[in-house]
Amino acid sequence: MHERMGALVRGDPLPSKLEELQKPLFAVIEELADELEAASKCDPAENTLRERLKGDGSQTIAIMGQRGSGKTTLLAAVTAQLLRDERHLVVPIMRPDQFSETDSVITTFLAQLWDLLCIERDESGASLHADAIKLLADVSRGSAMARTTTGALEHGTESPTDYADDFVAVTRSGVRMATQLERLASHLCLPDDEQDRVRLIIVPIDDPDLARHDIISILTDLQVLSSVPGIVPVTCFSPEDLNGTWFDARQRLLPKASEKHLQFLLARQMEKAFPYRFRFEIEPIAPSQRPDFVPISETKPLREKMSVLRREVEAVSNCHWRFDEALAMGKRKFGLHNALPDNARTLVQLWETLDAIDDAQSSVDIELLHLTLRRMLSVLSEGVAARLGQAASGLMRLGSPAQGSDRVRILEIDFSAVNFFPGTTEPEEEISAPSLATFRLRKIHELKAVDRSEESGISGKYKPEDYLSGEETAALLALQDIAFGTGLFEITGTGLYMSNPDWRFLQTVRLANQVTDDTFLLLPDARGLSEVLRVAELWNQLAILAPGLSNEALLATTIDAACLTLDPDGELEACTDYDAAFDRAAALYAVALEGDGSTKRAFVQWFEGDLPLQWHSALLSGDRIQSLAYKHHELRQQEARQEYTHMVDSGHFENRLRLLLDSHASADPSAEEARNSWIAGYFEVASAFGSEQLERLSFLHSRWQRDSAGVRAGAATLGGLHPSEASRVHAAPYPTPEGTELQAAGIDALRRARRAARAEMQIR
Amino acid sequence: MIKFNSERLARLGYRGLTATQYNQLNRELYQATEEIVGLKLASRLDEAELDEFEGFYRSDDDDGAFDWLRKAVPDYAEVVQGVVAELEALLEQTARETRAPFQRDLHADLAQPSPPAESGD
Repeated sequence: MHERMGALVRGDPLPSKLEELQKPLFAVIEELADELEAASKCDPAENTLRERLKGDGSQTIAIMGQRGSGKTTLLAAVTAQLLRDERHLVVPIMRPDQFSETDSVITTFLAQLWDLLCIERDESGASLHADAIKLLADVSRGSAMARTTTGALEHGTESPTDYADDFVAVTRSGVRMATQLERLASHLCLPDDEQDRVRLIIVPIDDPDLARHDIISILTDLQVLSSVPGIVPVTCFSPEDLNGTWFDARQRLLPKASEKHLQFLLARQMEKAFPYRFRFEIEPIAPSQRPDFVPISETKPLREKMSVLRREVEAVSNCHWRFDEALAMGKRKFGLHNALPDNARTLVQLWETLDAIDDAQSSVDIELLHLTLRRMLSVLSEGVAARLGQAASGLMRLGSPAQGSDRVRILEIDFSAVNFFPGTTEPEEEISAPSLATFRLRKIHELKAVDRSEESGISGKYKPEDYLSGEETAALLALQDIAFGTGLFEITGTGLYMSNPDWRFLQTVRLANQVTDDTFLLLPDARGLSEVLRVAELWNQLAILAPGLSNEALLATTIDAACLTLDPDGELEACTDYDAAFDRAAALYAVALEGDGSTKRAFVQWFEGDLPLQWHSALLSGDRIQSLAYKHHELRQQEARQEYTHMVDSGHFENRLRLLLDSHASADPSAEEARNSWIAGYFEVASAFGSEQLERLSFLHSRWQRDSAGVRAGAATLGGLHPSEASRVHAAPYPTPEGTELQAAGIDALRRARRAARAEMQIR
Repeated sequence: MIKFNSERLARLGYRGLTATQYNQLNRELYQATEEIVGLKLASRLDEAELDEFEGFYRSDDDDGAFDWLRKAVPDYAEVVQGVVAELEALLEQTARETRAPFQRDLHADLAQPSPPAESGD
C-alpha cells in the first residue's frame, strides 16, 4: 500500500485502462479553465446578463466504473498530478463515507478550503488570503443558515416578527450562499494581474455513493458547487451503486411513485449532475488483458506470478498443474471466459497474494503454499458465490490436515446446486445403415453450468436466468483446478465433472444395428479448468477425425486422445495401430501411478475402468480382446498400483456390466431394447477379467452371435450392390407433396419390415 | 443382377420424386435388403456353424467367411431374391395406398365444371 501511494505521488504509469483516461480528463480540466478565462474577459455588462440567465449547468467530472475497477486510484492519480502541476487550487480528497452526521459536501469543502487558505502566510504571520478568508466566512455563515431548521428557529425567536424576519433570512440563505460562493470562486480563480493565468478550484470526491448520508442531498450539494464557475468537483462512483442508493432514497420520499417515474427522475438528475461531456468510464478489464495485469509501481505481470506458483506446487506435489495456462486464456473457449476477476482491485489482491510466494528466497514452506492457495480460492470464488446466493466460504471449506499426510489438507466443496454439461449444436444423426458397428460423434460447442433452482431441477428444464455466465462457469472450474489439480487437497463433497455421461451424450453407437448405451469412446474425467479445456479440445479433434477412420482406428485414436490429456502440447492425429496405442497408454499408466494431481488420477481411472469398454467383439476380434485383457490385468498388479487402491473404482467394468444386464432383464419384453443382445459382445473380456456376470452374459451370447453373424452375412452377400444415383428416370426438379409423401411412406414401410424381421429372428 | 436405382422405384409406383428423394429411398431399400437377408441367412445356421462363421472374422478373413457362407447356405441367391421380391411387393402396395388420395383429388378436380366464361359485353 505504501509503495502504491509513493508511485501515485511520483506519478508512475498507471495500468493501461486508467492511463488512457488521464489525458482526456486533464484536457477537460484545461478546457474548463479556458472557458473561465474567456468568460472573465467578457464585457462586464454581458457578464451581468450571463449571471442573471445562469442555468443549473454542472461541470462535475465523473469517473465511473464497477467496484474495484480503479476509480479511486485514478482519482488519486489525477489529484496528485494536479498538485504536482501547482496551477490549480486542489482541496484534499473528500470521502463522504467518512462524514459525520452534521457533515455535508459543501461544509466539508468550505472547511478544507479554509485550511488550505490559512496555511499560506507571509513573514509576519498574516494570511496571504485575508480577503478570500473573509469571503469564505460569509459563505460558511450562509451555509450554516441554510441548514437551520424551522424547529430551531421557533426555539430561537421570541416574537412572531423576529421569527418572520429570521425565516425569510434562512429561506433566502441558500440562494445567497450560491452568490457568495461565486464571489469567493471569482476571487480565488481570476487573477489580479492580467499576466497570470486563471486557475480552478478542484474538489476531488471519492465514492459519494457509499456515504451513509442521503444521496439526494449529496448530489444537490455537488450541483450547487459545480454550478459555480471555477469550482470543478471531480468525483468517482459506481453507477450501479449510485443508482440503487438514489432509487431507495427517492422511493422513501415518494412511496407512491411508479418505478417508471422514478427511473425518469433518476435519468434526469444524473444528466444534470454528471453531463456526458464530463463522464469518464473505466471499462472492465478485458479477459485477454487480465493475465498481463501489473499493479502500479510493479513490473511482473500476473501470469508470471502464477507460473511461479505452479512451479512451487509441482515441486511439492509431483503433479502437472496447468493452472497458469488456463488462466492465461485470452480468447473465449467453449463459451468459457478467462476466470480471472475483471476489476483492478481484485487483481491487485490476487497479485499481492501471489507475491508472498514469489518473494520467498528459498523453497516455499508448505504452510505458505496452502495459505496462498486458500487466499486464491477466496479471491476466485467471490463473484460466483454471490451469483449462487452463497457466501464464498459456503462453496469451499478448508478442513484439518488429511490423516497420514503433512502436506494434504481436507477441502470440502459444495457445488451440488450446479449442473455442468457440454452443449452441442449438432443434431443427433439417425443411423439406418446396417453395420456391425457404427459411431457418430458430435462436437462440443459450449460448456455450460446451470444453477439448479428448485423448480427447474424438478422439471429438468432450465430458464435462461439459471445459466451461469462463461466467467462464472470458468471461475468454478478454476476453483476446482486448485482443489483437485494441485494434489494438495483431499476433496470431500460434490464437484463438477466432465465424465462418462457427457461423452455418452456426444456419441451414438450402434452394434449389429442395435441401440447401445453409447459408452465406448471415453476420455478421462476432467474437473479443473485446464483439464476441462484440454479434454474438450481433444474430443473435438477426435470428432473431426472420426468420419475418416475405420472403427479400429477410431478406437486407437481415442486412446491417443486420452494419452494427450497428460501432454498439454500434443496434437491429436489419426492412429491406425491399436496395439501401439494401447502400449503407449500402458506406459503412461505406469507414469501416472507415480504422480499426484487429478489429471494423472483421472488417467489411471480411465485406463483401468473405461478403456476395457472398447473391448467388444463387434469392435475387436476375440483373440485380441483376450490378449489385451491379459496385459491389462498384468499392469494392474504392479506395486505402485497398490497405493491407488482407494482412489480408483476397480469395480467400474463389473458394475457397468451388471447394470446393463439388469436393465436388459427388466426391459418391457415387447420393446426393441429387450431384443438387444449386444451386451454379450463383452463375453470375452468378462471371461478374461473373471467377471461375476459371465453366466448371465452366456445366456445372451448365442443370440449375439446370431445377430452379429446376420449383419456380417448380409454385408458379405450384398456387398458391392450399392445403390446407384438417380439415373434415367426423370426426377422432379423440386419436391412435390405427393413425391414427399411417397418417399416418407416408402422409408417407413421398409423400416417396419426391418423391425419385423428382427422380431421374427428373436422368436425363433 | 439386382439394381437399386430410380427406374426400379418408378416401376414400383414412386414417380415424381426429386433426385435426392430417390437416392434416400434407394439407400433405405438397399439397407433393408441387406439386413433382412443377413437375418434370414443367420437363422439358417446352427450354433456350431455360427462359431465356425465367426472364426473367419476372428482371423480377419472376410473372403473366407463369404466362401464358407456360400457353401453353408447354397441357396443364398434365392434367399436374396425372395427378400427383394417381398420388399418390392411391400413398396408397391405402399405406393398404391399413398397415391390413392392424390388420385381421388385429381379426379375430383377434373370432374368440377369449369366456371362460365365472362362475356365481353
